[in-house]
Amino acid sequence: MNSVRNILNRTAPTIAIASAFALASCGASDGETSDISAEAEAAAGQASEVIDVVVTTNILGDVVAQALAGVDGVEIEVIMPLGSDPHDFAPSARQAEAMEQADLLVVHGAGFEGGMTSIVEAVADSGTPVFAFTDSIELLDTDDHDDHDDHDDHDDHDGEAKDDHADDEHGGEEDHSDEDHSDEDHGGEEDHGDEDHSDDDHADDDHDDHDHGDTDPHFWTDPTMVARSLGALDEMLTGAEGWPDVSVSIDAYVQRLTELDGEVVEILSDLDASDRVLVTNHEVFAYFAEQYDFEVIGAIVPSITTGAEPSAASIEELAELVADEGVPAIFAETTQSTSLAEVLADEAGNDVEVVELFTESLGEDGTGAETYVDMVLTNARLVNAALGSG
Amino acid sequence: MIDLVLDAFGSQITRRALLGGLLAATMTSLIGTWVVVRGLAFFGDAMAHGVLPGIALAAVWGFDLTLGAAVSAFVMVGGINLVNRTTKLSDDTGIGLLFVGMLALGVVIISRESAVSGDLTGFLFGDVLGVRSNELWVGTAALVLTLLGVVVGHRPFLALSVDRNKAATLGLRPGLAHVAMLMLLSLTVVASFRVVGTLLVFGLLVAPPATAVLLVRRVPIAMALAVAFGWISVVVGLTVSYHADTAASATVAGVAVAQFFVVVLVVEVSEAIRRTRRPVTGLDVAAGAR
Repeated sequence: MNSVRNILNRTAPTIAIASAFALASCGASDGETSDISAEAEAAAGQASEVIDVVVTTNILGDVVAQALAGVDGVEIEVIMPLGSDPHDFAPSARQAEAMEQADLLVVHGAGFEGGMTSIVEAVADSGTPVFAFTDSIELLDTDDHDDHDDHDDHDDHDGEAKDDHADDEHGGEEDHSDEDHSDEDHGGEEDHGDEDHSDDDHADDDHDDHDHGDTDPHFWTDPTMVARSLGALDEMLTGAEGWPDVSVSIDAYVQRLTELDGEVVEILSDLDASDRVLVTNHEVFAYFAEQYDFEVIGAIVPSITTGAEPSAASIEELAELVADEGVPAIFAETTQSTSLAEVLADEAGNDVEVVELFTESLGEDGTGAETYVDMVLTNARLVNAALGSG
Repeated sequence: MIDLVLDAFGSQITRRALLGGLLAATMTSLIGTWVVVRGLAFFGDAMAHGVLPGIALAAVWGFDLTLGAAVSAFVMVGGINLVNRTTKLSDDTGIGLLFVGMLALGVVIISRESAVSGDLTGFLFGDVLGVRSNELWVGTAALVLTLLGVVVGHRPFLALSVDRNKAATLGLRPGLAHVAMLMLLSLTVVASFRVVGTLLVFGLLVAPPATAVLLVRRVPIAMALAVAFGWISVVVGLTVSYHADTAASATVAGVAVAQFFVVVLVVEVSEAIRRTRRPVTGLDVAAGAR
């Protein structure tokens, strides 16, 4: 063995190099890979005509695709596949390159893309225009979740709630976009300009992101929030270099979302105030609850990310609460295991149902959640069916 | 083939990933050689989880996360050393206790403070693709420190690995050397996992040195070879991730491990060929039986 080692000591570098080549050619011999690079070259060739938009999550991917459907030459690439948990998705080197070389990178923001946060920051560093949905709207503080008892008076709200919201929404759109645009550094026009400047800007962004740590990123459960943030996207892209007019296309989709809001209200209209109680997996339905006058009485995982774990006491407390309030259903998520929800349902007794909602990813074909609009409608119907029966 | 590699590094983000990866691979291969020689892989792995409570508290109290990680790491080294000195339990029991204890504490803190989770995921699941220019400087500084530590500590570390008692009689303070080595390892781990992410740090800490140790015996040569294997893993891994559209950090770590098994295979085959070619002598039979 010693003599073998001596020989190998001398030949080691050769072997190392040989193995490297062997490994490298494994990757290279795959016929598919050369096609991809050919496509990439072709795409690079026409970069001047095509506007490449890369979106991180598939829900926002659909929102952006629909909102820009009427704009010529826009190509959308969505990074996260269906069914993935956005908190811990890890992209490939090619996807990172696509993000960096995009004409616009659209992200959720507020630390939502947990595993990709550092990559998004790195992309912003290299001067790629980044639109973060959560930067354009006022997010709820996570503390609000626990204060929902204050909402006991929400019967008062009920009557005028709808008109109020409609007003808010339109008024809000303008107010917010003005404000946000001035202190938002992602402004497309500036970023296209000098690169040194954009580096400084993005350094500021980091601090923003950290401040967002205690806000709830799941704004899309309320379609009017999505509509509002699209107003900010419109503002960013209007007049930006290389972009045709986007306002008509975005407005049409915002219109659709406003209708969607009405449809959801309609679907849920049979539910009494006392039925409007949600127990969810992790804290994802705060915006939905706010908009449609529900009360989130508890979440199994008491956190805005799926990474935290519940305590034994909190599960028990929640089970008691579910039993006491006679909550007929617990809402789980399609991207997460339902085991905790089932334990909770068992614990609470009374035939509590576990209903899986589409929360952090669109569904496959045939699930009724292939697009954002369908997902919202499907969720509303599931909520109505689960809570209305009780 | 060269084109395939060049294609993969056509953008700033993948080039930065390459630099960050090479930096981390260099650092981890140096200290990783001692990890492999002394059987500290479990300690290295435990360290990733052991830093969790420090990071979580740093996020809650709003000071630098790397500092929190470093404090946590030092607490862990201290705890393991305490178990080691005051009980007759083996090293890995102490590591296991601290590993689980610190991880549990970390999860408890995170679960109580929902406010910090966004920051934490970014920190814990750093990604080789998320390397930023300022982190490259931090990484370079850490590399210089690691290099210094490895050079200065070489004799005591070597004596410690060969024979603890002999090291003591030579006045090389094996206890101190052990703690120093764990500290150095913690520093490397903490510095590099912010840059390239936890998974990749451990892939690069163990796989390239293990591969090198298959081929050479002398520690300095093994370090050099490990660095080379680490670099190969980074270049090949990122190239594969680019063309096959696979998660980048995981691919690099996977290539590092695959490389190890390829080398094992090459060593075995070449040994078999050598045995059949030469006339069999008693000495060879004895060597082969070993």
